[in-house]
Amino acid sequence: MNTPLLVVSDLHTTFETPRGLLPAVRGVSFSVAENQTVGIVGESGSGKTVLARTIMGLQPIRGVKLSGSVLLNGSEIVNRPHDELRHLWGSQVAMIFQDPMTSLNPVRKVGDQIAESLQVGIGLKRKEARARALELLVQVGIPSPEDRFHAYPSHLSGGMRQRVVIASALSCNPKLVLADEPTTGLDVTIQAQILDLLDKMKAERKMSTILVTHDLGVVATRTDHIYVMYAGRIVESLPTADLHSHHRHPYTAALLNSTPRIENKSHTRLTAIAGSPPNLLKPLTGCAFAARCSYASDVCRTQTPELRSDGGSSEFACFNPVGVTV
Amino acid sequence: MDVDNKTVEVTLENVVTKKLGPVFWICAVWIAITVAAAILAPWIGLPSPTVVDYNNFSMNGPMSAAHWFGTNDGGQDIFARVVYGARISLEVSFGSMLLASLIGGTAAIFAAYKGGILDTISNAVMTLILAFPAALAVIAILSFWMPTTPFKLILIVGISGIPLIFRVVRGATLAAARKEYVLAAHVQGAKTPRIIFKEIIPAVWPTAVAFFILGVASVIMLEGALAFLGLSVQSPAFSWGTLLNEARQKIYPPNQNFNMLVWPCLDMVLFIVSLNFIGDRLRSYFDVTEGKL
Ligand SMILES: Nc1ncnc2c1ncn2[C@@H]1O[C@H](COP(=O)(O)OP(=O)(O)OP(=O)(O)O)[C@@H](O)[C@H]1O
Ligand code: SF4
Ligand SMILES: [Mg+2]
Repeated sequence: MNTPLLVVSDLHTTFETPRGLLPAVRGVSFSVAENQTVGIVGESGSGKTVLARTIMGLQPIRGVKLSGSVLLNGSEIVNRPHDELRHLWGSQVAMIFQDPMTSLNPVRKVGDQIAESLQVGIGLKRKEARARALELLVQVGIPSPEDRFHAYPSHLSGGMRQRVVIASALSCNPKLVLADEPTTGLDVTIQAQILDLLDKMKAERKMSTILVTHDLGVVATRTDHIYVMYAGRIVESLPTADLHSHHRHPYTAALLNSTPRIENKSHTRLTAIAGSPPNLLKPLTGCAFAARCSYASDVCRTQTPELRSDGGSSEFACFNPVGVTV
Repeated sequence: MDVDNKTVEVTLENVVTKKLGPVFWICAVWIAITVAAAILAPWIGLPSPTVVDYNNFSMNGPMSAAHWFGTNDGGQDIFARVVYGARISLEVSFGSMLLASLIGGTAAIFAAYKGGILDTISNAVMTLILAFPAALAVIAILSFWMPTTPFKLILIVGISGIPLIFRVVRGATLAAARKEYVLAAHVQGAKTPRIIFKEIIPAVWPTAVAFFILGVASVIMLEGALAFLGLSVQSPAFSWGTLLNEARQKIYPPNQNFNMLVWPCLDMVLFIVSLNFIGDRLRSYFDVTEGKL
């Protein structure tokens, strides 16, 4: 295989907050090949959004320290000013935000918003952009697109808005799409539809996708590879096919236990993992998961486990891995 | 992939359907009539507000077909004076608010969107200025800069209004800039001017307009107060404020002319109340809309 589309190496994102340094991403490395779909999974606060935004080059200049490297198609993203990244945004890499309620401008017609991303992104004339925007509305499966073109976001349901957001993000044919919890806040059937739509668009356009979610169920069926994130680090990396049968990290196991089952009614509270993630403002010694881990031993509290290979294409960072082999 | 139409239907129940209400529209019509009459005053067949009508001459004349609101102690038509008096009041109030909004609003949008040291400093300066009572400053400057003209009023009141507008618009801009759609526009390659004009300003203007209207109302009142201190425009020019100030001395014998006081007062109060009502309604209307979205 030739060089991957995206190579992230030893990425650190540290916020300078009034209460001290907050390392939100602490040395993340992974890569995404062309056409590949990877999932990034972790609890709330594990740093997924910060990671995604850092990969986009979106961290503000002030108040954030970045180190490491993000190579997108050979171009370095880290510590580059926004002016130099603008030509990559839209046509190379695009982002789908979490909340379709706030990622569309409430006072502008949805068609105009999509058309504008085409005008800005690839310099289409207004008329061509509008024609293309209408096509995109058709592609993302919006019924009676001519009418919806002139609708305001408040006139559309959440699922429809997210379709518009997807149309807008994909308008300039990006090679890589980062979807940060694209279905949180939508109900389950619509979640599935939106994820199906993303799958379809990905197949048609041969894009690579990074799907960020706190829901293992979402990535379990729709990705090629899964990275499990905890407290700013990747603690396990494994092919999706191995998720249920060959995971090694106790945190992955705990996440799997808290994943919704079909037989559960939707919106029932899951057995969340007991305890809460560590306070990143305080220095960490040992394994970040130790306080909540039922496999923890003395070494876990004094030494930090590094990612190590299990011999195949998986890696995990744990001294006492779960020995699942089915 | 086929789309399940059922689930992607437009949910009209979610659409915010709000009404501004009949009172809003009555107020709006009243404002429109008052403003139109003031602008068109010379062309709508009013008696002269300054030249005395010697055919029907009467000092302190009663209400009549020729003089709807009667005449004042100089035999001038009060109705005409009320309508003409609105001109300077409106000129000064709209003019000063426009000045304040253009300068304060523009500065606020750029400072708040760009952020950083520029924003911190300008915000600190504006907050500091706001700590001084603006009305006192206006009075002080005007009393050293007589005679007062509409232009001076616009300039001084306008400048004194900048900090308030700045703060309001800055708040609205910061709120808008935090929205994900601004970030989304940004990562689709939109540059700062485009984001400001297409994303920030459309989000900020409702707040700004509502505040502008409330501001106009308070400048009309301020002008009235200045007139009481003799600091508004000087005779022969007259405004609502100076009409009231004149009338103040004329409600006692020998003139005892209540028409001089009642009519300008009524017109001014109704106008201010209408503006306040409209401004308040617009503000809550837009606020609720934003909350729902
Ligand atoms: N701008 C910021 N300044 C300071 N700290 C931040 C900032 N943004 C995020 N953080 C912190 O970084 C950590 C990771 O946050 P992040 O939003 O990436 O989590 P997440 O995994 O996306 O969670 P969620 O599932 O809630 O979206 C959190 O502790 C958060 O408080
Ligand atoms: S290193 Fe120790 S504490 Fe950390 S996950 Fe593994 S067993 Fe648990
Ligand atoms: Mg997040």
